Amino acid sequence: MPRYVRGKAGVIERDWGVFVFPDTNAHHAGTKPQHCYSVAFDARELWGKSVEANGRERVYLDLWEDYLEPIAPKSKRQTTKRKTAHHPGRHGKK
Amino acid sequence: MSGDHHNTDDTGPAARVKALEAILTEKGLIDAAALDAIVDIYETRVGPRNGARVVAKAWTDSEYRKRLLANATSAVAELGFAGPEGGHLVAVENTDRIHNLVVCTLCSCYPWPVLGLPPVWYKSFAYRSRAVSDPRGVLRDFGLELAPEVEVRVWDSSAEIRYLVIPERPKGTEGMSEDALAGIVTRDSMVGVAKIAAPASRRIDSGRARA
Repeated sequence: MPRYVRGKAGVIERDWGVFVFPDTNAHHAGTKPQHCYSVAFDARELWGKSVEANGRERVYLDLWEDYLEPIAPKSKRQTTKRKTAHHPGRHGKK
Repeated sequence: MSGDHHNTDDTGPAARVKALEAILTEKGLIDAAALDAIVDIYETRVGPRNGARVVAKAWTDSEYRKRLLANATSAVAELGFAGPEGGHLVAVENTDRIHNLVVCTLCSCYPWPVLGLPPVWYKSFAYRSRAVSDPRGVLRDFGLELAPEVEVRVWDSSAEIRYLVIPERPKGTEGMSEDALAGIVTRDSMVGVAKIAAPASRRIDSGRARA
């Protein structure tokens, strides 16, 4: 998983389906198949105020289930859910 | 930016690859002819022209566009394009309000069956780090200034999904045939680092672009 999203809050936008989990598979520790999601992060959440961002920049990463943990919604600006967003854009703020 | 994806430098990774290839061939673990055939396929037969055909079809056939956006892997396979790094393809569409940009921060994942092998700049540390942290700045470096109200979506290919950007069809191309349209779709526009310019002078050529 790219380091820059560790500990950051994002929103699950799409469920890509079930894939082999590379973190275990690459070490011959089993395929551990699990869902992989498209998770959207606001640029300001990732980089703070140091970057040129006006709230219309998002970074999408494909993240396996094991990388994610549910968090409570912090504010209206940033609603984060896990696993419940199985439909494209359902929880996405467009 | 160089369109050449082959590193001809005799230092660093290129030298290492040559050394590895020599040893593996010597030990009989790989067949040099098979390797040459694979390289030839990706250098001369599979390339951004495939993606351009997909985009042109999506521009001219609304049903195809729908299928492409719903399942790019199967829509692309309809045109005969498939293979490694194309098993889970997703098409993202640029509009006047949304601009998509593709990167792979971890390595150089790229949709081979539709775009061929990635250009050198796509694999550079500078592009890979700045595309996610400063996408508007990166686009500016490529000569594309986006209006602040345009939403930027950066797709970091961090798993098995590979992304193809469907660029906006430029104005002034209404009368052009699908084949002629395929001729104006650039690789960079399908990675999302460029738009396709309105072909002011090309309009005249649209009728004979097929020849």
